[in-house]
Amino acid sequence: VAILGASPQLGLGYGTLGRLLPLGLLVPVLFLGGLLIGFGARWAGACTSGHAISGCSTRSPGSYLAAMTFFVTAVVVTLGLHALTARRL
Amino acid sequence: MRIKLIALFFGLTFGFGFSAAGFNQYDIVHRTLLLQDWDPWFIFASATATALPLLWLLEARGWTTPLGGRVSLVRWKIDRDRVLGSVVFGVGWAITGACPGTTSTMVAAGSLLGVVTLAGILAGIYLRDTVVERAASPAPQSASVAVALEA
Repeated sequence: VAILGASPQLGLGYGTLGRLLPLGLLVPVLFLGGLLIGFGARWAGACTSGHAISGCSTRSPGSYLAAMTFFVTAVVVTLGLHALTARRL
Repeated sequence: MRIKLIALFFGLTFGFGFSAAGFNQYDIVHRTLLLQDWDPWFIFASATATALPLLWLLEARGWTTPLGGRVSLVRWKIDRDRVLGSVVFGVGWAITGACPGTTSTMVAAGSLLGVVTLAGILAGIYLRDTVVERAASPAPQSASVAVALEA
């Protein structure tokens, strides 16, 4: 409990995104984002842990491709969101 | 039982590592993906640099693990699914600052909004499995039409 109490995450905080969006918008955005994560990771066969850390460690060719693809996609989309929100995000 | 205890131990170290790296915090992941914070990239690199040579040795030498089995490593082929799935996943990761592993750490740290992301992930997995099942089996509508016609 003491550890939980010291957690910066306890409650409804969601960092910069949580401050930018009102709760009514934040909840559907996070759910939809989660939907894409689940759908995409299932499609690709694994996620950051599975393809990037484990897959790259086992020298799995498809994992190198998947890791490169999701790293590049995530960076490009994040930079896009940053630009779209006038650097507030 | 023994394997469950071992799984619990490695689950603990995994969650501890994620929390220590701050991967369960939106702002840290977001700054990483904005290429403003490079530490997490080095964490990925060092995790791989630790595991890769050890797994290579285990496999090349045919060593058995402490549980007695020989190591058999999963290898994915290079194909379209790896790219298309990863693009969809990458977009979701950019929006939420979370991936399946870190979301469980978020929830464990007491983030209520992490529960929303987690619910989305579970729904996404279910949706993907439904799509795959639909594609694998003939369309249920036409099947029922056929049954109706026979009747």
